[in-house]
Amino acid sequence: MAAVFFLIIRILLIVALYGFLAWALYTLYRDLRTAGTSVQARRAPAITLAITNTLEEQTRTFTNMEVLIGRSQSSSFPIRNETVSANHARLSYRQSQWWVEDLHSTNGTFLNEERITTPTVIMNQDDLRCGQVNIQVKIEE
Amino acid sequence: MLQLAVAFVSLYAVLLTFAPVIKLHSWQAGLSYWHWIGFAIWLGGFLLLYRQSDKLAPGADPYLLPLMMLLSGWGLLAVARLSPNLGLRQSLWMALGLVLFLYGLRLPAVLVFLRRYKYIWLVSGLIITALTLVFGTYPGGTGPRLWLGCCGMYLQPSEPLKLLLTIYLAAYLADRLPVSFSLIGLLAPTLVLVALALALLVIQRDLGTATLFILIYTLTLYLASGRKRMLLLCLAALLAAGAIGYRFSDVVRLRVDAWLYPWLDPSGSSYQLVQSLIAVASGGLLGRGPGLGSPGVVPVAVSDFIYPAVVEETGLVGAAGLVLAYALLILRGLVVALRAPLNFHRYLAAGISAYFACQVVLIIGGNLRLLPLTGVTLPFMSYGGSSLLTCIAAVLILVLISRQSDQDPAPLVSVRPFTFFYACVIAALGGILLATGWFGQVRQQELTSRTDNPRRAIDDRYVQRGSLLDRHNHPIVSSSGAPGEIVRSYLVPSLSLVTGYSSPQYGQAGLEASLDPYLRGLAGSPSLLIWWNNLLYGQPPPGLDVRLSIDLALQDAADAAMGDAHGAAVLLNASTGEVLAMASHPYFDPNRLDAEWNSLVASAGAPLVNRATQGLYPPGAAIAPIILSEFIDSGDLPDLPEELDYPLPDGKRISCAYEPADSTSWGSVLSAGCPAPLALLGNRLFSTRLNSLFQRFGLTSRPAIPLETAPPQVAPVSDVKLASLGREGLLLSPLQMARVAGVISNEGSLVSPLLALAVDTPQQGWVILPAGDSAAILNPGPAAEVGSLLAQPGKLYWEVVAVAGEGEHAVSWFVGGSLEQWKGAPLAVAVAIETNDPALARRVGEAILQEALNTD
Repeated sequence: MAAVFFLIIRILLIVALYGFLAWALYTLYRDLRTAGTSVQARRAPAITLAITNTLEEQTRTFTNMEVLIGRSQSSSFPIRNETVSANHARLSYRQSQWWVEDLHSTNGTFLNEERITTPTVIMNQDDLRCGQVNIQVKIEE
Repeated sequence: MLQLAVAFVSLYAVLLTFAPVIKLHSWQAGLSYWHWIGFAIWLGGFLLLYRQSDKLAPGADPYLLPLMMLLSGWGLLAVARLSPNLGLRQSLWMALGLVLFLYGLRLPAVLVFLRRYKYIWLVSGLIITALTLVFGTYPGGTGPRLWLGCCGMYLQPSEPLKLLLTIYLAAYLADRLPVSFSLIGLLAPTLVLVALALALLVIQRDLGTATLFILIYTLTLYLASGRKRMLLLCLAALLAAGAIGYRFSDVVRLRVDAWLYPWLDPSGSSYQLVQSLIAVASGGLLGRGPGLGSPGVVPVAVSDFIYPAVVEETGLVGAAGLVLAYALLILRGLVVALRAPLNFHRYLAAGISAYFACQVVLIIGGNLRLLPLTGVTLPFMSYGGSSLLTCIAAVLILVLISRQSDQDPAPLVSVRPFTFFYACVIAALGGILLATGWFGQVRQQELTSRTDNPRRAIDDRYVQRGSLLDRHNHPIVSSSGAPGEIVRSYLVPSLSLVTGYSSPQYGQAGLEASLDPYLRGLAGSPSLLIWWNNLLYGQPPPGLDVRLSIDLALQDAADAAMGDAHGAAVLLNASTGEVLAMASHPYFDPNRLDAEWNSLVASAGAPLVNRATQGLYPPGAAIAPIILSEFIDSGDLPDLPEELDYPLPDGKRISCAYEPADSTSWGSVLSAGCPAPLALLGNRLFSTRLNSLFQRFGLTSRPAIPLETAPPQVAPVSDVKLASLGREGLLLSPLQMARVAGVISNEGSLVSPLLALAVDTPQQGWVILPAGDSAAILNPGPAAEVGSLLAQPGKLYWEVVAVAGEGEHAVSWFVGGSLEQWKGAPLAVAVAIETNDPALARRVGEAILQEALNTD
């Protein structure tokens, strides 16, 4: 009889061990899902780009994490101007900041009239120039 | 999770307490309580830690503490189960470790401190390790001197050195990595220090730690820089180091050989490994139950071989749980690394994950023969204060890193090194589980039934082994005593060469070996009973008694008649083949095997050899019944020669065993073993006919008997005269000769000898064991005629006495059997005495026959 109880406790032992592991795996899985949804739900502060020195004024506001500037139609902010390269510059939101990065454009990207070579933090009211096109940047506070 | 971890460890502790009751099948057994001290320390310490970490480390990774709790509690109990004394020590170390953990949580800015003084950490670690060169000791007596000891406490500096190396590397890389991308420039300073550490370890012959060092070093570099070239370089370096070590270092060669060819030397250099595999195999699926197995038989089970010890008692199920827990721990380490706010923190956490992963894979892989054995510890499970403290400190660092994760993670070049590394870890752990399953399931039978599995002998102390009884149910061998102290007693030492022995030290022999499945209850018991006993107790069912054909009265008569003479005597029931008596002198006393083993093995009298089945003697003129039967069957006998002696080709003369009573009667001269008449008969036969005659009488085959038998030695006949005198390379055992005699007494049938008659099964009572075949090789008429020709005047038996061989190698034979007129069961006797004393052989044979005829 004692042996049967012993066996039952042994089975409970296994249940406890696997209960522990299953619980750990379950919460890990749940974490993963919430992490996924929170990443999905994460929104960058809206950034507004306005071209100020061409004939047709162009203003757009973006709420996603990445904005591509260039002459090509596939850019998120296409500019019809010869001095702008097809893929000219990229704005991206990382570490609670908007960053601008030159994509090896022919005529260069300038932030407040300084040519940028590395990814640089961009602030509200900064002036961005791609080739000969001036862009006023507004970032939602 | 906390509750489940506590439940698991508490249940484990409860099981260990009651295990003696189950093992001994009785409540008389004392319960074991010692491990509860460790349990109390563990429970109290961790509950306190939980409370404190909620306050001191909010937001820390929630999995690390429960995992550490589960693993260290399990390890503590596993160690306490193997050795209560070491378990107590381990509890003290754990208490120390938990205090350290609490203190570390309270200290501000531990990580900054670690980073700032990185060179001091590593150098001081190296200095302490170097001190073992001078002051090193080995706590267990003689062995590698890797410990620093004082006042009963021992520390192995190479354990913390691993963590110090990780800290140093992380700090160094965090300072340099974004700046310098040239590999050589980056690595040069670290290489110097690491090489220094390696050199120290190699001098100390702590090769496991040295391997671990190389692995941690490269994996940290890889995780930090994301260059796969590192891994290839590391692999190449390890292989090269292994090859060089194999050439120049005995330790490495021993380890590698034991890994590649473990079955060559299972009792020597690969003893540990083979025992480890047997332990895993005896665990099977569910294990034998905590406290019920015998994991202590694997050397150093407490530290290096804790994994097989755990698997034996919890089985593949427990092993899978354990490995999964390690997989989770490593995963959380990597997650902490990815979320770390600073590069230093990231590299440190990654290094610690690599440290855990390498250690787990190296030691379990070594235990399971997947990798060469490296003596590193299994984190949290193995006994060892330094190892436990280091592991606790490593988890402390992970908790501290994850605590500060309110900042965003540091920029990451690529997540690929981390995922690739973890995939490798999962693959390795999966391989470990597959190997555990392979040894525990597929090869279980083969491994557990090996003779060097001491569990079988240990089981015999706990479970009643079956008795061997004589044909009238008088005990010959029996077991008695309380469970746990059952001893086997051999009541008839003169039968020692038939019954053999079952010794924990020297294995099994004789019937104890061949009838082992019955005596152990594994054959003949219902399979449900076997399964149930194995599940409940981890033991085989009670053994079954076996009834032998031996008649103790006749055996005593044979032994008394033989006296001190060397030789053997066999008495068969000629119609059934039952062996009624089998004496082989000198014999030994199996009760005193342990004390006498060495002298028995060395003894010139070879008392461990059963002369009746394994002794091979030239038969000489004792094969007269065979030759004679061929003539009775086919025609008349020629006239007797006048000269009874016979000159051999080398000039020697051989003569009769004794003066025949009537030198004109064929029967009388052949009974007296006279060579010349036999040679005359043989001369009339063709050699091919003699060959087939020998074959028919079973001289060329081994008798089917559950004892060791010698391979028959029958050379093809070239000289018929010599062959018919039994002098041409022919060697026979007394058992074979008794079968020959049986043919004459049993109407021409050759029987198979039979020793085990019946088994007492729990459900059907006595079940008769199958007998061998018998073959009619002679017509009943001629067989009876041979018997009456060789009959002794006024007796109910026939006989042939002969001497074969010369000088020291002379053998005196007596072959005889009952006559047709005898209405009882037909009998057959063969006696071989290892001296030139035909009178003695005759006395012994006639005494046995007389006794058998009188009692029947």
